[in-house]
Amino acid sequence: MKRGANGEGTNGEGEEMKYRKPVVTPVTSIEHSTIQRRKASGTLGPDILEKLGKQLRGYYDGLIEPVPERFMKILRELDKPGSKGSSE
Amino acid sequence: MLAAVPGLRAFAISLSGNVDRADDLVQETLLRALANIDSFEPGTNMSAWLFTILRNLFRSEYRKRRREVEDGDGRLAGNLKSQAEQPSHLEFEEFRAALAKLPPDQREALILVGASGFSYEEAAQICDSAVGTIKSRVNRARTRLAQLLNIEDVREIGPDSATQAVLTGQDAVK
Repeated sequence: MKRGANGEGTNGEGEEMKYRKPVVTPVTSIEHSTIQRRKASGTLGPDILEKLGKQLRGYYDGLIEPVPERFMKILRELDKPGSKGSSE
Repeated sequence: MLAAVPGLRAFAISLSGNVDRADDLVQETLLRALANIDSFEPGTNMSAWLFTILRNLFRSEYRKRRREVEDGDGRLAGNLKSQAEQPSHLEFEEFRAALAKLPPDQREALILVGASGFSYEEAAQICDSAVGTIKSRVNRARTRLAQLLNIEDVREIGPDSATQAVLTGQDAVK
């Protein structure tokens, strides 16, 4: 039996370290691997989406400031009567 | 038009990471809009039209400069005010840094859909991409952000006994 070489039943023997162990997903990490798969495929849970959404909107709202004066002259041109931009 | 500018400016800051560059982008966008106002069709979405112009200007500039995140000249977005009702400055800065690590196409898609209030269809039009492409970019951006910010969903962990024990306070596993 070479089970030890597959990463199972190792007893801390030095010889085990000589082998390049294949990647084996431990049975005890099924839940963890499920999360990783979901994250990798972009299907985040509702809690994560909610937190991200809140943080994103909070960040964006923090960038909203009154319109700087340097833009006002251009805006007045766009909004003056007869301009197409004034229709909205 | 006036109402669209604060959001346009926030979008520009999100893309460039720099307030002074963002203001230059907004000014150039407005000047182009003024020069090409005849190409705007009344009744269509003025805001989306402006965002499209700004996005194209940024992409054109980005291709030239190839460095859109950190800029030693001018104010960085992280130096902006942090109002009481806004997240703490630390959270703001952490989120800004994470956002800056996203590829530009993912960042713009996420901002347009998740913050600027555009639909996937409108974002696709602004980015000159397919709707499916925008959805994919937004998903990838969210996934990457969740990793960068270490956001975890306890409900995703499922029936793990140790976690359940912590949550319920019973049979705690040490």
